[in-house]
Amino acid sequence: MAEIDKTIWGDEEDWVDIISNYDSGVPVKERIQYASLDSTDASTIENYILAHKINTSQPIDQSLCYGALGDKMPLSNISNTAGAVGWRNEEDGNTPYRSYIANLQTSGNRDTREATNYVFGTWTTPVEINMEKGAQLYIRQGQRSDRFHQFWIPDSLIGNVSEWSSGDKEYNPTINTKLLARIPVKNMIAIPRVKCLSDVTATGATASYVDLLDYINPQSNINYTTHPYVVTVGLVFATAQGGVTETNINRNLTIRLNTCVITSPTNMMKNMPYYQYGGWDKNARYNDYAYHYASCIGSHYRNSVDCMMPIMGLINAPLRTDTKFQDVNVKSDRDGNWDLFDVRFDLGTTEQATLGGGYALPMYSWAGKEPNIYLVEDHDPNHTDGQKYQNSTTYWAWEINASNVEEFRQDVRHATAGFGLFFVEGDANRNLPLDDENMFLGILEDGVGNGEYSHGPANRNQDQWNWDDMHENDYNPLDPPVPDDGKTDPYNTSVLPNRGLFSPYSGSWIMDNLALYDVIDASTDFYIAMQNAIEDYNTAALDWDFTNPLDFDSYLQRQWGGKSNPIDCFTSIVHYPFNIKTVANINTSGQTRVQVGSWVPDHDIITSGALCDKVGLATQYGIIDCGSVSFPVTGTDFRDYEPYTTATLYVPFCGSVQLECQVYAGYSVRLKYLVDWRTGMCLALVYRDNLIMEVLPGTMGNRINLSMQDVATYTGQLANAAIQEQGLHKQRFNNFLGTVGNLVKIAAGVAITAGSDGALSPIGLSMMTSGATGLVGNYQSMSQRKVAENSVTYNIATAQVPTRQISTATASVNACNEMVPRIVLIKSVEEDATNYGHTVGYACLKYGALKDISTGYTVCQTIDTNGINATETEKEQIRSLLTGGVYV
Amino acid sequence: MAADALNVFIGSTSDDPRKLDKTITWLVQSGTTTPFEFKCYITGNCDILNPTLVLAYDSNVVGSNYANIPSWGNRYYFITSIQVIPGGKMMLSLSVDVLKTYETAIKECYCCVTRSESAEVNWVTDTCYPINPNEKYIPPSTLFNFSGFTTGQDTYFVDIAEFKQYTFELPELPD
Repeated sequence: MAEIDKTIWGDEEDWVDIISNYDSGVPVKERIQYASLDSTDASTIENYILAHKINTSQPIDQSLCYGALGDKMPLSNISNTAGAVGWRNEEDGNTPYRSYIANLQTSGNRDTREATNYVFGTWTTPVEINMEKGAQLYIRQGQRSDRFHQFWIPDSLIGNVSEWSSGDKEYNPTINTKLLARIPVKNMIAIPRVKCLSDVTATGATASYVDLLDYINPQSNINYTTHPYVVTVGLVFATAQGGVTETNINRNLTIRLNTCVITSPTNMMKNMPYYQYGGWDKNARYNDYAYHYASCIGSHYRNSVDCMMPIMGLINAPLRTDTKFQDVNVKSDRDGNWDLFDVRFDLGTTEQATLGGGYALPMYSWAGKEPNIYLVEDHDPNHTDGQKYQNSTTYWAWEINASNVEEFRQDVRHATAGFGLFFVEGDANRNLPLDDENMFLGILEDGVGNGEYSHGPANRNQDQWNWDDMHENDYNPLDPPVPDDGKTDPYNTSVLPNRGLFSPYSGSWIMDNLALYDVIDASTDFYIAMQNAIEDYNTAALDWDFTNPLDFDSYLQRQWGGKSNPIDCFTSIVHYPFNIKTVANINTSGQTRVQVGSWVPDHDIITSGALCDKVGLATQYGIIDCGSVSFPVTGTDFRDYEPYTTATLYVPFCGSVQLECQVYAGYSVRLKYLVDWRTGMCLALVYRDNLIMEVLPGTMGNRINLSMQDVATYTGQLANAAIQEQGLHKQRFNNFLGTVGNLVKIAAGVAITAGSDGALSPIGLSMMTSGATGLVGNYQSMSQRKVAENSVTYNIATAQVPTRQISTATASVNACNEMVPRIVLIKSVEEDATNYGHTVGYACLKYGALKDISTGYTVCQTIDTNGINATETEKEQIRSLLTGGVYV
Repeated sequence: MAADALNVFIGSTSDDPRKLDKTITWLVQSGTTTPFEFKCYITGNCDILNPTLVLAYDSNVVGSNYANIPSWGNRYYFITSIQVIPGGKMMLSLSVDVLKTYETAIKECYCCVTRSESAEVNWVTDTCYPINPNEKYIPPSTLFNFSGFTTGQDTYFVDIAEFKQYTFELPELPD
């Protein structure tokens, strides 16, 4: 943890301990806890401070900001152009989010940050001066104003208060708010909602608010075809009832949330002390402007009727609704039972917000005017272009169509994942188990979300799975975004491989005029199969009666579809001794019964459910991230280095590699695998922080031995024999006819002879001769064909079922070895070093005046004897003595 | 040539000769704490860095090992030998102690300290540190908090050629 700047945050003993007023008997994970004032005296912050001036080990409840949005997230990349804040391009001032991300590397008139803090909160109204409603954090001028900075709170919750323009600490804000201090991470899921328009030609178009899942579904009432213009995406939260289990989910309560960025394009807050930007780091200030950025997510807590209400904004905040409330039928949440209520808000109504002094900049939105960007203009003919766009009813929208709807979906996932929460894409999925394939979980790295997410069983591998609430994140909002120890590698983050980064659709894969990838794509499918599926295939392959070989046709039809040789369809099967879907977060396109050739297993054969996950071609490559550990020696002692200490990283599947202590000491060691699923080959990538240092090849998957009955060859043998037999039958018949003919010829010869002159005529004799000869010949042919028929029958009866091997097993010893990566240290044993410093002196490399460096035993390498009024002989003695060791 | 007598303080120290700020117990006048000034004489040419002095025999001097001659630049000396000579005299051989003599000036000097009793710099490799070259130990290893390679959930990556079915009719067998 970074050293806390007390000039900003004050002394620790003066910090406020923000506590929850929740009932102690309720499990944390089942409740949303508010950081609030003491429940018995919530009137003023003075009273609170006086009552709770506690020196705690955790002076600031970091759960108020349990995590941060990383540098790739929209709210960490806000640009300012011509007084408007948004994700903009400096060149034309109009750039949608995606283009903005693409241009992140070109810094400019942009406020970028490594991490952006945010807070979830509820409040009664936007900030009002001296307003006495609800829970208040109240600073009265001249009283406890010097303590104001002790309370870490995003100034979004404080608002834009004119008194701050004085630039000192004499504030007079009143905050009516409740902060969500503890979010029960496993019982509170986020659902992104899309705010969209059907038309961009009319002034003041009314936006609709729909689930992401509905929006991308063209069959829904409101979707990207009916409402193609997206203005923004926000969040709602669904919380579980108390006492629910993972398998009995019922997340009834919906809390309307939003993310806002506050802009105040005036100089009003110019002199506001930096530390008032608690929600952001002090670099949040932008140029000479006191742009006031903050991210707030929360719901109104309306004291008067005790109901949860959507929060629309703050003073000068985008999406300000002029505090339009919509009452909902909700009971008090102060009795500890509010999560039992079925609360749904009419989002469509409450979101009909008028854009105030700023632009809508919620969790994810667009602003721009590019090829597929449409600006909803004010069509007042009396307005100039500028006025049209500045009109409060102006929307900036991005057109979503069939070509980019999936891209849009991924972007929303990305933006939602940054908060590190569980989330689903639509309300219909709100009650899914947390490890369902359609349940997503934002991945936090060192407490910071960068938009990556897991889903399905892989969710169990995230830290949040074991948390009761987000407070268990070790992220500290006071930590500077870039550690100042000079030991980070802020560069080279791009070398972190991304799954699917390699694409066979790129590069030179062209053969003649044929794009090879077309061939690949058309001929190859990848599946991820579990053990039972493989067993089913094995069963299917063997499920036929060898004793009745002629029944093979039935077998083929039944088992393999009869139209293909199944063995020719298996290209390879690679075995992994773990669940690669879970480890590598592989996106699948759903489970299916694998078609092998023309065979698709059906239920009468496949009983154990040989369902496999079909994956795309790009999934041939995967990333396994094993996370990072701190290198076990800090490097503060020479004994941490070689030859006194050696460190070896054991990398499962790849062997071991020695890590140079001088290189890694003080850093973290991160291990990732880049895996070619199809071959089983992998590269272990060892990082020092984010800098890749070592690459180890290895074998993670083992190609299994594939041999199978060669049905096609066998079929061919039998078929050829059958055809041959059929031919022989036909020839036998012909021979029979030939024999009969010859007999007729003989008879005819006799008849002719007898019928004329009683003597054999040459013709009759010839006929008789030829008939007899043919008779003999046909008889011989029939005999030979009988032999052939017997031979064919014998061949059929004794045909051997051929087998064919299409792949050879590779060594699988890696799969049997230890599976947990670890760093092993070997350290030297020290001898007795009593009085070592006094007798030998500790190693030291310091330069300066001797009196300032060392006392006791001292050895100098060089000494400047200028200034000593001694003879040269004496100086030489001095130099000699000091290099030999003296006691100072 | 008879030289003027030198006033010499004589005492003893048990400190390491390499110590700058030595603790010296001077011989004192009887009944006082004031160091006694011995009258010494040189005998011929004398190197003030390694002088030989003659003085009246004093049994207290026999047990001494340190001297100070204020008039010679307030130099401090080690007594390297003591000889008793006839006539009730004794002769002391001295060697200048530059460390004590120039203690203050030396401490002001700029230098590069490579070893120090007080200023340990842990990251500097100490080749003198007593290490047993024949013995090593292995502390508990650092495990990655990664349980993804869990056995019992084996998976297979199956690569299957896509099948496209073609239909055609066999020709009639020839007669």
